[in-house]
Amino acid sequence: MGTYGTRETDDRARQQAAIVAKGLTRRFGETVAVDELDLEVPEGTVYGFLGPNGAGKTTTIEMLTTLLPPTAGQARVAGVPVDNRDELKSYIGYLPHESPVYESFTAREQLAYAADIRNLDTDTADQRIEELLERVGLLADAGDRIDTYSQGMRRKVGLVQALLHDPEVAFLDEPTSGLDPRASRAVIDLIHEQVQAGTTVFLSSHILPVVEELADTVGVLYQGQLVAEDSPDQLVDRRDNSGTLEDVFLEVTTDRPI
Amino acid sequence: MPGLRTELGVGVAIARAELRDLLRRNDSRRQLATLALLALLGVPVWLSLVRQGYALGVTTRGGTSAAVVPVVRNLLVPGLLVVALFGGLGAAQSLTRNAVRPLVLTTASTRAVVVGKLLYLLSTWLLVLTLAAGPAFAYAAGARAPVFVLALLVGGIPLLLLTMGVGLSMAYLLWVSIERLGLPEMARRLVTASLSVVAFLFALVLGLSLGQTTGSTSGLALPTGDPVVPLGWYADLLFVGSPVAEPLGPRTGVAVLAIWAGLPLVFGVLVRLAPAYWYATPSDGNADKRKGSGTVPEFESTPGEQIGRGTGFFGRSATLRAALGYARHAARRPDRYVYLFYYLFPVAMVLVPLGVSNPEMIPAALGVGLLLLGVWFAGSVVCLNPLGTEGAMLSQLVLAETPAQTFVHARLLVGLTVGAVLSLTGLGIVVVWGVGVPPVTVTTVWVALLVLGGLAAVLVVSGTFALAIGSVLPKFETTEVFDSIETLVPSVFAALIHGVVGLVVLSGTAGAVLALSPGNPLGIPRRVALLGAGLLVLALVALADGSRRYAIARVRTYGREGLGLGRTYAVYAAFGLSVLSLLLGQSLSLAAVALLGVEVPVETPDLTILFVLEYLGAVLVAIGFLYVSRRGLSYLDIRLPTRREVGVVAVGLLALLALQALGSFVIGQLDLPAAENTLFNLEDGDPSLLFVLVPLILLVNGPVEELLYRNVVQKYLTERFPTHVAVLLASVVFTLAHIPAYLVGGPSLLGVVVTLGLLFGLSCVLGTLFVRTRNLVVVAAVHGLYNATLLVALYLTAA
Repeated sequence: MGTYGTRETDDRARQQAAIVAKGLTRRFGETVAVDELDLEVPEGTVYGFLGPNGAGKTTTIEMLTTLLPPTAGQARVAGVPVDNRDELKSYIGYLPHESPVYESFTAREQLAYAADIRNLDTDTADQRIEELLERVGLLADAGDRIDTYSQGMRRKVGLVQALLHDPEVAFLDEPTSGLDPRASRAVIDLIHEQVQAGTTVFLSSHILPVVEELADTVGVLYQGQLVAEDSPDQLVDRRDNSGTLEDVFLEVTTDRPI
Repeated sequence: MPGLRTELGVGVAIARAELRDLLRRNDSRRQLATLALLALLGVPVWLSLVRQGYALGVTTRGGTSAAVVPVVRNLLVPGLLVVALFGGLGAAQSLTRNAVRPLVLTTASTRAVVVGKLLYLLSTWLLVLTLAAGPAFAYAAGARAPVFVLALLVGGIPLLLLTMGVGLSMAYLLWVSIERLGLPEMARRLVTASLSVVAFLFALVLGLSLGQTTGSTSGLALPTGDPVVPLGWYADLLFVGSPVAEPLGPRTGVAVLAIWAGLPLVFGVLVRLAPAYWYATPSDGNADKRKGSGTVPEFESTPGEQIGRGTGFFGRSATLRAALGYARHAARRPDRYVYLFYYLFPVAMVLVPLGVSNPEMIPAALGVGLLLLGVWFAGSVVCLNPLGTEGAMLSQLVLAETPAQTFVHARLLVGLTVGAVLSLTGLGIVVVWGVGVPPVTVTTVWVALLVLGGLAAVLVVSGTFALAIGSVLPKFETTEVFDSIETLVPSVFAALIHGVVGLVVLSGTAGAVLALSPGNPLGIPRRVALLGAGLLVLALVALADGSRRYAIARVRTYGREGLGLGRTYAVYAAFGLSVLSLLLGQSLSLAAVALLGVEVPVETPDLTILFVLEYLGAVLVAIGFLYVSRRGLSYLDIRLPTRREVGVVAVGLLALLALQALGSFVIGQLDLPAAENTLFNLEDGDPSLLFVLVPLILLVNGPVEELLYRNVVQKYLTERFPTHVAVLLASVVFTLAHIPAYLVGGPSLLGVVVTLGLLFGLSCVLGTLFVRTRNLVVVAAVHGLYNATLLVALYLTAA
């Protein structure tokens, strides 16, 4: 486990939804960040996770990636309960809103480090690193220190790092932020391909066209609660087929009664 | 679960990456140069410790009755507990503020992360441990006890690992319990912040009382009896093979077993505790949920605008408005200044033992402590990181129409106010409860004025120097202080350097004040006291004003190449370079003395080494300056002399000799005294020394002095001043730098002045030659040949 290509041998995760959450809740003192959230994301699909700033998206992702213990409720990712961190680690890849990289490393050093601590086979990992670097167009600059990179280049390093081990479930928080249209396209294609190969993607983003293109299901979080959940087309259709995902977003995330 | 081998590999990868990141983050030119300078200045101290260790080893070679083992038995466990607590408190948070925390925590297994953390910690301790091991191994070498080295390693390494594990476990446990108490945000911060201080004071008092109960009752004697904690018997293992070793008993065996068995146990506890701690610690993603714990320091608006313009007294001056802004900023977020608690540790270290041993001293100790804190706080409150604490606002300050000096002066004003309040309170306590209020007479008023003037000078130097060193080593990333409060702490190195300089300046000024006080408590001749005080005032003015100008230039030119500092600063810098080169040269030759144990009279080989090392300081300073200021080695004008330049050498030499002859003639005619360079006293009748000294002067003395004073100092001054002014200024620096060489042996003041005057003239000739030829080799040759000729002539007349 931990290395890609061995997934076929692991049927346990295949038989159920990739992400299941029941009554997932997190409080910070008085504030309720996530309020009894229920989720079910089928395997091999993309779940677009929307919501205004401070709605609880990051908190949800941190609970699903074991970084934050839920105050109440349960969740399973790839069939593993989220309180079993050591078991879950090899199944998931996580790109937080800030790429977790050592600024002083070069992209190659950082990715080799990520491969090392995932205990991937060195040769296979190196091959995969080069391949992914080329896919996102970072090959030429991969020998430069990350602190000389632009915001978009950092995103690319973070994304490659999250997908390096071909995870069962990838949690991507704004994977295309700071990217120019061409780079953005490359990243979207890469995510699409990864999903074709069987990865489930939990995608949090404010760039609605990206979500519209990639997501099979869209969930909108507002004040810690899921206020809408459906396929992008269905969500738009529900509004008399007139408008975009943006209109839906604006409508379901206001205090005014609809 | 992956095997232990794999996990160890992952742990090593984590430790290696963290260490690499740590090293790379601290690789700016300025930081490297500062660290190198610190290391070089510290080398003599360390070497003398190594030497003392060796000497001690030699004297105990035939066995000794020194009762070291019982002392270590008693102090081992409490000492290690203190180390564990502090190491642990400091280290526990290193993961939570790690840039790659989300990656590591969602990737590697808990055991691997714990192993990685431990290895990383161990490697950061490695330097300190190696330094500490030096004297111990020197002792073993002196005592011819190779087994002792082995015993230290075999016994010490498990002890070290256990200490680290226990420390981390304690820190994790404390932190998790505090988090689980569910205190309100502010209370939680206060509790965790005061934890280290409380632990420190507890350990200090415990250590002192332990020393008193187990040892003799007189004051601070060392304990000699059986250890209170039986684990202390482990100490016997550490001394196996040394002259003080005692036969190993069953009690030592039990202690060794307990400690070695404790290792896997503590590791198991760590693996269980660490995730609980990681869970309990909020990560960046939740910062917005915790109201009022923003992590990025920022102003809501520029200080000037924040305060509102043109209202009342503070409205009249931009500096006062900005100062009020900084003060308000500090008052609204006092938690950002929690790092100031660290200053209590050194003060408490001195004061608590004083108070414990003699209760009558408490008011005086308290007063002096407050005074010292005031001096330090004048710099450390708002001045020690002037660029970093502006954060994102820095670009706005640079673009603002308000000149940069406004912000620097405003910080200085706030720092001085805080420092003055604290130190004047301390002074008041000392006067009222320590020495008693004296009646008002002319004498007491004079003393009071002296003391207050001295204090004001020290405070100003502390504040301005903090601004400068803080600009050299700015820090932009936040740190967790006392494991609880994420804040922008000044660079540790800047704080240490500022702390030491503050202490040195305070004690120097205190000495000058005492020497000038009526009754002359130090017994220094009035003439020397006045001269010393005058030099001190000059040095302090140069330090304070130079620091201030440097800090202003750093703000003004932030983000651009070249500081564009003014002329005055260039003069300070020239003096600074010469003082640094003297300091470094002394430090290096002291290191050699410590290492070789040079005896007087100096043997020829030692003399060569000392001679070269003293001049090495100047070479290092010259090259360091070119490196840091990005002028590069191409700044040096080194060429083979042309035929014409060979002629210039001859003419220059003749000119210098003529000047020397003229000078001697005038001195003789006017019957003036002259001072002799200490170097020229060495040839007491021994002609063989000439064969060593002449080449040294030709190859080292001449070239090195010309390198520093002509090619670096004078050329640097030429960038700011007209050529002839630069030559004169460089010659002043060159002349003053020779004062120490003439002061040994107590010559008359007038003699020194006359000789220095001659030296100034000679230096001007060399400076002019350098301007004309632009070739270092020419002036180096003239300088070397002149000094060598003088030496030979002196020898010949003496013979």
